[in-house]
Amino acid sequence: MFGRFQELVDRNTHRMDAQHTDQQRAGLFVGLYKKAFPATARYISRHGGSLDDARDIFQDALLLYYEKYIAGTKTPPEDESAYLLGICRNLWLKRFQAGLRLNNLEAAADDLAEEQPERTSEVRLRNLLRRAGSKCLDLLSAFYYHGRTMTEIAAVFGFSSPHSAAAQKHKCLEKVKQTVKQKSLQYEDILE
Amino acid sequence: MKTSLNETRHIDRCLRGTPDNSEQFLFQARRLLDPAFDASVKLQQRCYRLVRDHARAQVRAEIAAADQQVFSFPEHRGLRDRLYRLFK
Repeated sequence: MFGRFQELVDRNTHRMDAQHTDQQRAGLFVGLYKKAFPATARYISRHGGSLDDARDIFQDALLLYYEKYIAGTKTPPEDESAYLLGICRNLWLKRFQAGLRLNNLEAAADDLAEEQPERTSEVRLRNLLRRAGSKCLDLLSAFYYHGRTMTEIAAVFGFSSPHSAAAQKHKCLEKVKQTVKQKSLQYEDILE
Repeated sequence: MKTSLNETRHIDRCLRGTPDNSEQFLFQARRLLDPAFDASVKLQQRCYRLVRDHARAQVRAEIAAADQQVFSFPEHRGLRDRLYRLFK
């Protein structure tokens, strides 16, 4: 029923009921850990990293893999382990190069000063939205991030038809939009 | 409210759907000519980013939970031992 996602879950764990997508993802990630993490750990170990480094890098790689191949539209590679190892190698090299750059503390401080305010307001908004109605956010996430079809969303969220799910998706988007607009104006008042 | 909902739906179709060429052209033209509409489009793009960040944070938490499982559940002890040996 869940197409590409289900195929990967079946490959890595076992078939589960369509209602349990969170558990399915958990099973998928544990399956990929068992299958692909040892090779990554070996690579990081040989290049002077620690087990914690390997765990951090692998978690980032899993997120990238998920967004590109499971939630995304691309066809997953046949050999997931080799592909994940490739992502980890790139991430490790990037981290190593960033580490060299971070020796320049002044530059790092400038970067932080530029990024911090924007990120804080977005995180605060996200928390507010979650408190205002996480079901709407979850529904929107299912469509825009996890790449679910309206038929799948209708089944998981209990709508009578894909059409009802689509109507609710638009209402949720409108609700989020109005909340963000209102809260952004309030923040501007506070900042002024 | 209804007008606003229709606008949200229209922007959604133009940004995330498959609008035909003429609809896309009119959408871009209206953005240029109507600042309020353009602000609404930007607001909606910000909402998409917030939704993505919300979902991404959830997936990150799920991945961290999988990591915890591998490094604490008894059934993964064999795998853990292999991993610890690599870093001795």
